[in-house]
Amino acid sequence: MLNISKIFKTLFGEKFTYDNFDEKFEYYEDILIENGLCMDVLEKIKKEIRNILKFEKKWISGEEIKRIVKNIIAGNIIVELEEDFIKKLEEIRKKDKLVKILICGFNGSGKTTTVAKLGYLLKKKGYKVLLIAADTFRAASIEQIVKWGKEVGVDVFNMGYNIDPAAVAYKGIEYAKENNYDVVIIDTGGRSHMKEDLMRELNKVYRVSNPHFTIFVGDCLSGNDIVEQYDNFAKYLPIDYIIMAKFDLDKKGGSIISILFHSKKPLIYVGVGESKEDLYNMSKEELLKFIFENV
Amino acid sequence: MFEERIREFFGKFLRKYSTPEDIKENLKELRKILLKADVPPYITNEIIEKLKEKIKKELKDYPFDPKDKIIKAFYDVFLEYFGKEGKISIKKKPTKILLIGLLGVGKTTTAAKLAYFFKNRGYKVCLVNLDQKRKASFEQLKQLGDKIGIITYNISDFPSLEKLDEFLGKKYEVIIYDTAGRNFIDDIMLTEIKEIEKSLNPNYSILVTSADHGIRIQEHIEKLSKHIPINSIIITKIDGSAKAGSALIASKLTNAPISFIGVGEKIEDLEEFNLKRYVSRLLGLGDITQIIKKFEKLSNKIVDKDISHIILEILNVVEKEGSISKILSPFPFVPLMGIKKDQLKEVDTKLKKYKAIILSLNKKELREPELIKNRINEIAYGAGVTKKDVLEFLNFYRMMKKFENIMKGGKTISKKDLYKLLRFKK
Repeated sequence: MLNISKIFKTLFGEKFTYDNFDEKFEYYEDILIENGLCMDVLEKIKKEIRNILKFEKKWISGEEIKRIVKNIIAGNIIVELEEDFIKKLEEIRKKDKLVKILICGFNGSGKTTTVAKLGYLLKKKGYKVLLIAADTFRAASIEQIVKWGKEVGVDVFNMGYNIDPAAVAYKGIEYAKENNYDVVIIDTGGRSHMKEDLMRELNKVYRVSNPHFTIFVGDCLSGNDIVEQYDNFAKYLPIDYIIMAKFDLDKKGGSIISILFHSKKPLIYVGVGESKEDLYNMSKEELLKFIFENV
Repeated sequence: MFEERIREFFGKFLRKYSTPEDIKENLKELRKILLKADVPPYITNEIIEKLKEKIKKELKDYPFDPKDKIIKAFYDVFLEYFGKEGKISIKKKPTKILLIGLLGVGKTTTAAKLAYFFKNRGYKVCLVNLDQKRKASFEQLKQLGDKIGIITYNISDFPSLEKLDEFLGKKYEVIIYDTAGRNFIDDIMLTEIKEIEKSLNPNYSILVTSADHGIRIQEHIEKLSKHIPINSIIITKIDGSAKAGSALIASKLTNAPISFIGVGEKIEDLEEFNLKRYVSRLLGLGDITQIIKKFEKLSNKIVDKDISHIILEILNVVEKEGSISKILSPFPFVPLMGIKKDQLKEVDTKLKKYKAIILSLNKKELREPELIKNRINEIAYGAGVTKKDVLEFLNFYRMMKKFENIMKGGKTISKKDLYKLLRFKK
């Protein structure tokens, strides 16, 4: 594993200069990587520090470097408070009557569970919520969301399997309008961002439903691939928010910071468990605390 | 992006003489590439150190133009590090397979794929759902099982796991147990799976791990491997863009070989693990062995055939693989030669048209495509293409004719010729 004494020495004795930065920072870098930070984001952070060393300061102490890294991250990520999100949602509801939310993400990231939790959360806030089962491919996906709907006490609209997801979304929205729902949450099938046909299908769901919010659900256990996943999804539909699932399996948040830093989109919730209440609106300070806890 | 970088990296070695400084610089680059592929820093650093030593030695023995030796050193070190292969063999009947994994890695899909794999090899197989947590977990497994004609059992229909196991043991040769996705840091969930493992005493306890998962699975696998003897690993979702470097963590911590990889969403998308192929993939070199094999088979076929049949055979291979860009993109020399992705895509559309044209030719024309000139309008109509396409095909045909001898003689095509071929220049 990592040589702790070496890290200590780097942090608390020596000076980082422009010339020795890359080499000296390597140990520090390794801890950030072990906490789940992506290489792309790390490179961006390093570039900023190199710039500081080139133009602002001759050297940075080991103690200071941690603070600088933290500041760079803090300055590059957006976390939205729940009240602001609900405020936006409420404004849209007043204007358009029905708020449309579209959920997308890679296979197994935790979309359906997130949809149910979000439905439950909005129901508790007093909204009449409808979940739309637009994953018509995965085995038992509909049974899964229907059971979730029952558990959280939210209605589910479905049309069965092997139907064009865009058609389900369209009909679901029509149904919601007719029956005076306030919010629809459209659950889509997990897909690999590498499969063009599936991504085009998702784009069609987007065009047909014309959502107010598109939410990308990522998996906290994802490695460097998460930024690639995001980029490929964002190519096919504009992403407004990020929800990161399975934080309870990670507890470091490196992947959260990576996707936020990379996408510049706000984090709205993290999934922290398998029950209906386990959707958490984490603050930026908390998020930073997790990754810097042992750095 | 990643792949371009690694190809560039190997390209440097292939193109020019490498000085020790170049090598040092390149190893730095390699470090980044490995870290980006989710290989943990401590393993990455070990690999780089090993490579340094090996290369130093090779440079001492072969001071002049050591690039072949360097590439071999790379390959050797990677093979040493990057897991092991190990097939699942059905020695005992019944063979009990228990699937274990983190949430959302694809256990249930893998269970069905495995069942299909063994069913096709003539075994009596069944699927069992032990997941009482996830909603519709049984329905999910059953719907998959029904599609492939395999019976699915549910733990909740039996008084106990022991009773279920006893009942199935008499009826089946391969029993695949699918369990709930879990969090291994959570002691309750870990104890649960420990108890299942203990009472089943499976022949294979397989850890299912997802290619897109990163370094953060370390803690989970560490804890799991201390409590359950994992003796096989399956990597899922390897058809995405992820490089599956974290599978190394699983392999290293459990000391278990990798048996299968999941390569797609269809039931047959499960392949037996091949270490060399995995290393090529991790290094962004793509699945070269597989493709070479396909073309080898093809070249055996084409010996006695006339040229239009050869073209058709090639087109069939291309079609089976999806597209020419899919076939050629793993090769490092494609970007090195300056061929761009869009150009390959163009080739794909052309090849599709050519296939339609060949299928519209009569027997005489197949033997002597120069006759096409007499019937351009008709052929274009029959194939649903334009006249220009037919003329282009004729040019393509004439060019293929030039390659005919090369192909039949088994000589390799030079880069220059291949480049020409891809650009369809006369």
